[in-house]
Amino acid sequence: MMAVEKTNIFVGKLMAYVSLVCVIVISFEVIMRYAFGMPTNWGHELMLSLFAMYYVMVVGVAHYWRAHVRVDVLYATRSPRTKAILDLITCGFFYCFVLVYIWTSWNFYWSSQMMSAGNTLFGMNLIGENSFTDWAPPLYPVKFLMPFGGVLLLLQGIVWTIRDAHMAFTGREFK
Amino acid sequence: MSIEWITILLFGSMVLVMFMGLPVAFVGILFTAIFQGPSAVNIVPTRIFGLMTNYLLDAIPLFILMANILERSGIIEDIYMMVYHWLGWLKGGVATATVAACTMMAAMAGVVGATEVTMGLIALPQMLNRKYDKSIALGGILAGGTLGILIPPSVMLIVYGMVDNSSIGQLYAGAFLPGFLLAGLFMIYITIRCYINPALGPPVPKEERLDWAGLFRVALPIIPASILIFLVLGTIVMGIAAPTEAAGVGCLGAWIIAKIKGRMPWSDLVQAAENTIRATGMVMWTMFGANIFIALYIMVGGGEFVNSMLLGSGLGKWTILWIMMGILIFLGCFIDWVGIIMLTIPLFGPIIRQLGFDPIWFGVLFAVNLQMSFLTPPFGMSLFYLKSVAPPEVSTVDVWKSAFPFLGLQFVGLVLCMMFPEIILWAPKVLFRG
Repeated sequence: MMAVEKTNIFVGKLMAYVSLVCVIVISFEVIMRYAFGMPTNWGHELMLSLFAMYYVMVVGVAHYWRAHVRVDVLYATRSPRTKAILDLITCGFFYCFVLVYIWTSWNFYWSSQMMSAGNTLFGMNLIGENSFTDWAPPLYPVKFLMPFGGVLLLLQGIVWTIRDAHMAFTGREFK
Repeated sequence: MSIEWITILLFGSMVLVMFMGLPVAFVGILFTAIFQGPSAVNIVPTRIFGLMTNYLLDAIPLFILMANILERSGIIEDIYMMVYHWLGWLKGGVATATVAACTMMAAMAGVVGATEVTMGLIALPQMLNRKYDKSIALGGILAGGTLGILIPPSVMLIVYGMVDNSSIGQLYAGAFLPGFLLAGLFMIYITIRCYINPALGPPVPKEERLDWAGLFRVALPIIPASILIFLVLGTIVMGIAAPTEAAGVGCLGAWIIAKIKGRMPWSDLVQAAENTIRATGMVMWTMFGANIFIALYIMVGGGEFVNSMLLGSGLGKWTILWIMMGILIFLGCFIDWVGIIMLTIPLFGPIIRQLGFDPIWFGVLFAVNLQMSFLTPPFGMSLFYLKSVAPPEVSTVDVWKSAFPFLGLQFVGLVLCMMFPEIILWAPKVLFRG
């Protein structure tokens, strides 16, 4: 459990750095374009991919912080124990969401990975879908991160379910 | 199954599980599988992938990061010190200054939260020490801090523009005046009440007031940040740069400003980026979840159903507009703004165009309307933020009660914007439509 939470915190830190890199990339691109009239063909798309990665990876750590928006009408004012019980009741929906998400996004990734776009590396043929742009970076790494982020979310969800169960049955925080 | 029943079942069960505390982000998928058969769940990754590679949406983390960096450079304290000395001599001056500071901060931040919390920490104790009336002190912070999500750079309007396919530059241009109008209403209200009954809000005593040189000196620290914001928002509103680019460069600028002020060690920067993750993860995943939900509803024919309900009812177009506003106010009591945009705008957007209303006007009107959602108990984000930092002698009931007069003012602002569309449309017309 600690390992899962540590991993998610680490991913969160990593993504914090990624967002700072994004700032540099955009600023570089903008300066090149407006000040020197030499737009890059990769800045825009690199930023898109980095942020795409950012969104799908932070979901685990966001769930660790329990930052996802809830409707607090009945929820916020309850005792920790009641909250835990409510969470246990609704966790079925959570697992439905996560499992469907992991499964479908894995298929989504796999079909992208299996596409043949004629990539070569040192003369070897590689498979995988490319983006339809000038720079044409491969798309499948970002798509792979979708199920990967989903797994992080799933693990974090399991940790919370264990904590909730402990709270619901004993009324104490799980240490 | 008929569409009426699907509507009732879908929204009924959604409301039920959400009330039990399930995060909005995780609601949508199960219903997809039930109503459309298992193969329909394949819309999940394509929908999410479409949103996560959306260029406009990348402005959201960037604007949040920019505000977080500025906040860590101590800008809120600087702004507050300035307006405190500038406006403190008025009766009720500290509360007026708080609203003014919130308004200026709103032009740097895209979400509610940081402003609310910081003001709760620095302005609220000061007002309580000076024996300000609780409802004026709390209400000013609540209502002023909420302007953050209306006045550009507004994250709400980015999401709105993305969902509704309308120009973010125009929405931003339109949102300034209503934002200032609301701020003006709040300040006038505070001032009038304190002039009628000075006990509610005594002015800063004479011996603490600064001379002209002092007033000038307290304004100095905020000049770099103000220039930065003028450049960032200016380029967007003039249509020179895309919001994402402006926000990215704005982050760099904020970073440099903070560095110059010597208040930004590397660890602070990483901390700011981590706080950004919290807000961004929340907004993005709520969008993903709600987007899937509404895509499903439109797939089973919900769009036409709502359309025919409203348009086929034979009501006048203003009545329909009022019904929409009523729905938004009602939803605002329970759901957060991201969910509301994702759930209602795909349905309302086409109707607004068919009725012949200006979509930009409606977009800003929407944002003004949702100002109220932050102050309506039981689920008002601003109420939670302020309560979380308020001193213990301030009870939850105090916070709730103080919100009501300002809710009324927000409603007045909404009505004014509806009756005089020029408040919203003047700036976009001048800047974009020749």
